[in-house]
Amino acid sequence: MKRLIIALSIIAMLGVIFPGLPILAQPTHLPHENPDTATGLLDKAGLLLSYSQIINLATDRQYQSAQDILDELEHVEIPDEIQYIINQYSNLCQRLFTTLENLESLLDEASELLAHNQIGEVKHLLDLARADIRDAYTLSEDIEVATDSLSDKLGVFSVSATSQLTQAHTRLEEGLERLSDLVSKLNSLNQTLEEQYVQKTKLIPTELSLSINPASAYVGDKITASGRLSSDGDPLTRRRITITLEYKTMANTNNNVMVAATTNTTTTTGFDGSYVTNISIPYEYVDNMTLTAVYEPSGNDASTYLGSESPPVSIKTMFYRTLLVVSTPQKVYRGLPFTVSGTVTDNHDNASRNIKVLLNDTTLTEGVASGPFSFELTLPEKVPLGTGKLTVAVSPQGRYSGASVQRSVTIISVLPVSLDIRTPSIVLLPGDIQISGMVYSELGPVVAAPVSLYFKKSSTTVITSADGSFSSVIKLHLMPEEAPLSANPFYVSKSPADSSSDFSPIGTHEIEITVEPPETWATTMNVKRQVFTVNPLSTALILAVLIALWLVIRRRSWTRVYTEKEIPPAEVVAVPTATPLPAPRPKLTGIKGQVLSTYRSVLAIVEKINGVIMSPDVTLREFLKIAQLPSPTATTLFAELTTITESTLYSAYSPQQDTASRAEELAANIKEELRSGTT
Amino acid sequence: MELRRFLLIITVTLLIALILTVWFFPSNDDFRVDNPFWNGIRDMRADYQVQPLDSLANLPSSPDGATLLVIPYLICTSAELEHLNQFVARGGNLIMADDYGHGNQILEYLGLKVRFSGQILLDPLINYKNKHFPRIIHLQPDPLTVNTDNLVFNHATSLTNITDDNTLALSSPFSFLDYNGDGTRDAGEPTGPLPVISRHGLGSGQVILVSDPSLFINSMDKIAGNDSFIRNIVANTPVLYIDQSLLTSSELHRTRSWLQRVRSLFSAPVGTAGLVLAVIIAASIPIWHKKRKLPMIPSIFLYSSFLPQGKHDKLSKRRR
Repeated sequence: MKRLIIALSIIAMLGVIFPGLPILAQPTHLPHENPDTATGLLDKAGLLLSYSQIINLATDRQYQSAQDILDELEHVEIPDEIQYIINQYSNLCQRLFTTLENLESLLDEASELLAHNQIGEVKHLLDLARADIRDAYTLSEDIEVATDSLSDKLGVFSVSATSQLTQAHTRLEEGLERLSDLVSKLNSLNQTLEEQYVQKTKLIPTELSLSINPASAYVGDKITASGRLSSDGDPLTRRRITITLEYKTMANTNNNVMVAATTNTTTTTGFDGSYVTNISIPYEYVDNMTLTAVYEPSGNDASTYLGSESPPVSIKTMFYRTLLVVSTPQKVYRGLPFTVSGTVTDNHDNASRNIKVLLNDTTLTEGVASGPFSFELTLPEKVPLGTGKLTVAVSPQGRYSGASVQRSVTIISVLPVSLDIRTPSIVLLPGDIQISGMVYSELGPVVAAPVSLYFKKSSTTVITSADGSFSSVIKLHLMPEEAPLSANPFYVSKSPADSSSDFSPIGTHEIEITVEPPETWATTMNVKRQVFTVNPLSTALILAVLIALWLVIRRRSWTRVYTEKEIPPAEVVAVPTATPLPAPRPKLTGIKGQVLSTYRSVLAIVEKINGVIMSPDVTLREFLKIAQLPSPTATTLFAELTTITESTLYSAYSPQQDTASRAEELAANIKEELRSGTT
Repeated sequence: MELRRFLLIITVTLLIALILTVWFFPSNDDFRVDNPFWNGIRDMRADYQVQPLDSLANLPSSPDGATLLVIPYLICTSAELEHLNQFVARGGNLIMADDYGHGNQILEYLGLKVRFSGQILLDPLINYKNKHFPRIIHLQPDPLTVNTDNLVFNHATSLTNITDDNTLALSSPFSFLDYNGDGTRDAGEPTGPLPVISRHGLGSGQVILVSDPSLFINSMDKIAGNDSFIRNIVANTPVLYIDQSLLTSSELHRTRSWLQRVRSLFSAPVGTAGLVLAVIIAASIPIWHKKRKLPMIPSIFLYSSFLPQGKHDKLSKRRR
């Protein structure tokens, strides 16, 4: 019994520990936490460190980067109580960085002009720079005050401030000091440039003129530019003049973004200080261009003359303007042909033009057309899905300008296929399942598409008819049949333990329907439906077993009850289940055998009266205690007989004849006593 | 006798209760498609047509644009590495989402230089709730980022050894890799913007790296633009496989798998027949035992003088 309890306890504990623990306890190191239970708290030290990082960028003169990062602070979720001061702080930083960037730009420009003796604009630039320096000083002081205020709000100066917060504040203060130093350095540079400006004003001024002929020209044509360089009316001979043509050009042939461009031409003045040169008008299809002549003193002239720049002269440029009208679909299926059509014309003679169709800057097709055009295209397999940029571009050609039209198209991998299915809700196993339905897409019924039906490992394939409908039967065999699994792209093999047929009495199973349209642009459709299955065979089998089991248990139960009812406690009656042993009746010899035989005859009667059989592990004394005889006299006599028998069995001395006689006498008395007592 | 019966009943009841609990209690393993809790990805399975994969050996031989999502939390065998390599080489798209797992082993095998840093990415300012949930606001135009303005990660890491051309998403400038785990930005710790999503061409296919698999879990997939990102992944592929073989398994999962195997076994004709036979035998044992049961004989009759020699020996043995 002890071993049983220990074994059961071990099993119970294992049962609790192994499957139970993972249910109750999560692993300690998780790669994530539940966002629903996560708490949000502003990282004050992180905020100050971020401002420190921004200011460091500014002190490294990366103003644009600093401003970009400041802009990103808009995404920070700031508590309402400090939202205002944060906004003010960011605003001050933003203004300071803009001022510093502008200041540096002004000083660079002034420095560049001074280097070329071009002092015309320098004075104005230095005046603007001086104003910016004043602003920068003021903003720096404001930021220092705002820093104190922000730090106070964040609790930097409180006794409970963490070391991280204090360190972050210190780093911010250090950054602000460096920023203040930067403003001082820029102020010094401005003063140096002002001194240089004063020196340059003592040089001799020069004058430069410029004129063009003709005033208008087609792109690709040439014009003549001429003028004169002089100082106080005296010509300056053999001086180098740079003529700059400024115009707008498209950054990319496939878009309409215009950027500034320049073309420089150099020439030298003659003996009278005049110059003449030809300028080619580039193939840039803009309405006008600007020409400027510049004299920059070099060599000995640098310490004698100031530089000069002619007034800008505008050139009217002409070209044949191209007009493009395009029609494109809004949605394009990868693999499915689509059409791009349109018309290309110009305001001259409608010449044949080269037309390109591009998707995301990749050429899809190219052709030549004059007037209307149409292209049938198919997107390559590797085109990324989503929103694409479809461009139709007409290349510029001589005096004919280029043109392009850009449209957004949605690129879809495959055309979605829809599937209507009718399946039974209850299926008897084994048997047949009737399945029917219809396959269609946006374009109408999907014709001749193989529809594969799978139920466990039974399967069948049917082809859709002209109206997209299909109907088939899955035959369910008692024993498994191999299905053509390779035909099912959605099949995921299961473990080897998975059975191919199901003998479960009842359950739910999946019917899987896969449609594989023959067209590459249509998607493969996979639908699963749950059906309730009943297996009458296994159900009957299991029921039969359970009934048999129940009958056996009941029979045993009835027998036990009947036995208990049939044995009256003090009557000598036959007990069916406790029938005395069909004890062996060997022929006994000797006095010992005589005594034992006598005891055996009495024992049989006592067992019948008590309904208790003397089991092998019970001693004679123990049985004497168990046995309850109806009369005290019989009990006394049986006790004596038991003693004699015990002595006969276990005593070292051999019993005498009188012992056997006494035993027989006791047996006879017991029987007589019991007989009289029971009648 | 009564105690024995009581213990038996308790044991059987407990066993049945445990089996029922294991069978019906939903999985709570990370990234499992049958886990409905916050850390599972059952929502993704419910919302989109995805195919869970119990073994990489079951990948299609012709991927043809199919996409496989792998979360490598277990070390890959050489066979698994080769399956992944073949999948990508033949035109499949491999999305590897990893933070502190074994993604670098796969990257090394595939011959890519990019790596998962394995260090925790914190963003003290631009985040969702706290710095462990960095908000990814720099997304490059790409089919995967269409209609997505920002993503939210959960205990993420970053990518290293990567070029700008391959980068699809960057963390904010305030983010940093917390090398020493003190939660604050220290000198020497890389600061943002740090690459967190990238795309790499390989063979006929592509490898897309996401430095946080938690993006896909039930509690995260509806936050910010995570939903759009997942939708774009699904929209760009004819079929999306989700590997489950490289995830760690709890005892619950393993026990349920074992029970499923047992159930499958008993659902088979042989198993069912065996079960029925076993029940019949079990039911017949008492009857058979009763017939063969010898009568109880008191010890005094074990003496040779009372019994034939053969029977005496047999009974003596039984007593012993």
